[in-house]
Amino acid sequence: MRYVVVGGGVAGVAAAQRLRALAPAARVILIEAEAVPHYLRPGLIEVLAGEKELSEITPYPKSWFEKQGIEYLLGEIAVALEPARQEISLASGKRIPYEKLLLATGAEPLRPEIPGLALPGVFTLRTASDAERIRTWAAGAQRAVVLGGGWLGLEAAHALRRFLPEVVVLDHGPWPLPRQLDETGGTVLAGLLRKKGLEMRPNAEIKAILGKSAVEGVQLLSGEFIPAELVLIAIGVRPRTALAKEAGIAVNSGILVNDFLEASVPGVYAAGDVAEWRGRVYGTVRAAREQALVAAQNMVEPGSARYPGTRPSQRLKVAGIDLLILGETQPKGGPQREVRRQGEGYYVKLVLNDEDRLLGAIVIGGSDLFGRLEELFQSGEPIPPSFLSSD
Amino acid sequence: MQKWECTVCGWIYDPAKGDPSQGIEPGTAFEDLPDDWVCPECGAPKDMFQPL
Repeated sequence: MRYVVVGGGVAGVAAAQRLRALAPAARVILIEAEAVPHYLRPGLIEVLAGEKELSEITPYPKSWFEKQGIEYLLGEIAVALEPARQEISLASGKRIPYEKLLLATGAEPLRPEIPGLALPGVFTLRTASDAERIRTWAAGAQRAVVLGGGWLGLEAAHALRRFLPEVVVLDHGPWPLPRQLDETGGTVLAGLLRKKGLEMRPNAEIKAILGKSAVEGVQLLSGEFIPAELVLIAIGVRPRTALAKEAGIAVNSGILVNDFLEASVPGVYAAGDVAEWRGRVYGTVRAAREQALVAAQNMVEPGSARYPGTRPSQRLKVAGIDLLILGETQPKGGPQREVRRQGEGYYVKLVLNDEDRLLGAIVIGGSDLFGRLEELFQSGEPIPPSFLSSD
Repeated sequence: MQKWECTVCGWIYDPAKGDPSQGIEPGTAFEDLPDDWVCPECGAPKDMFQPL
């Protein structure tokens, strides 16, 4: 048997390892477009900040994969997939036949439709080389503008602020993390981010990135000009589906997969940020791994494992600020009540049902509450009255 | 029991909770996690953790 995995991010690597373990006699070929061996993408923020080297977020050298019997093609870009011939074509001209194929091509950064994107000094952050290029460019910069007030934008802004005196976060939303936080939570978080030296600019609409031979700043729709020598775009990602789409595989937002993580063409599977399962593209490391393991299982033994979905990740920090978000934080309808507490740089909101069971929570600051709330959320026990009244 | 922190993403392994997402029962010491266990948040292997 010959298994081919396209994409060496967390999903592709987890799948290759699992295929190796489940099918010791098979060939396992892992194709990765980047030239460096698999690294842990969340660690790129530390690389950007200059706190870590790429090697410190790289779990295994290339030789480790080869020792495992995984054929690891680095710096090879898959340009075409021909399901009828069961073959992948690479940019280098090589052709790689497969019997079972996993597409784990991940996601790519979105870019706004504005002039100036091609100017030197405009970046997105997705790959190791992105992090290193930004780091190098920033050495000659004083001021940075980060477009986007989501997780990546805030993390990257915080990282840049460790070595640049001025970092402005331009957010078209009214407050940071608008999908997770209510207005009060967003306001408290924005206040803490300002204390960390970030200039937070909500409700900002960007018109163009300006500069002659390199970035000089951004122009807002309001007419205001914000000078900057570095612009980082962090407005989201989209699944990298081109390879599948051109091969005639069914694609919506992501590559459509069934509960066995099989795509619309027999023998082809998808997992991770590129996969769309029951209308969902998770975009988390946890989901990517879990999907990859199920897909590998089914590639070896078709129909043997159903993917049950992945529970949401609990992120506990953003830009160095303690933050817990559980369940439904802004529910609509149903019997429920809210308990709120708020102080300087501190916000707790508990969403409870009529039996005082926790439906959702936001905690900013106050990491001492995190463990207990997570337990109560998972166990479904009622919140003790003492918990609600204590300060 | 000793907690361990992922040096890449900061996720904390708490033996009292285990890691149900990878079939690890509550009460499992970090040292007793299987070799193929990884950080559920970023995928870092065991040797990229340090005691908290």
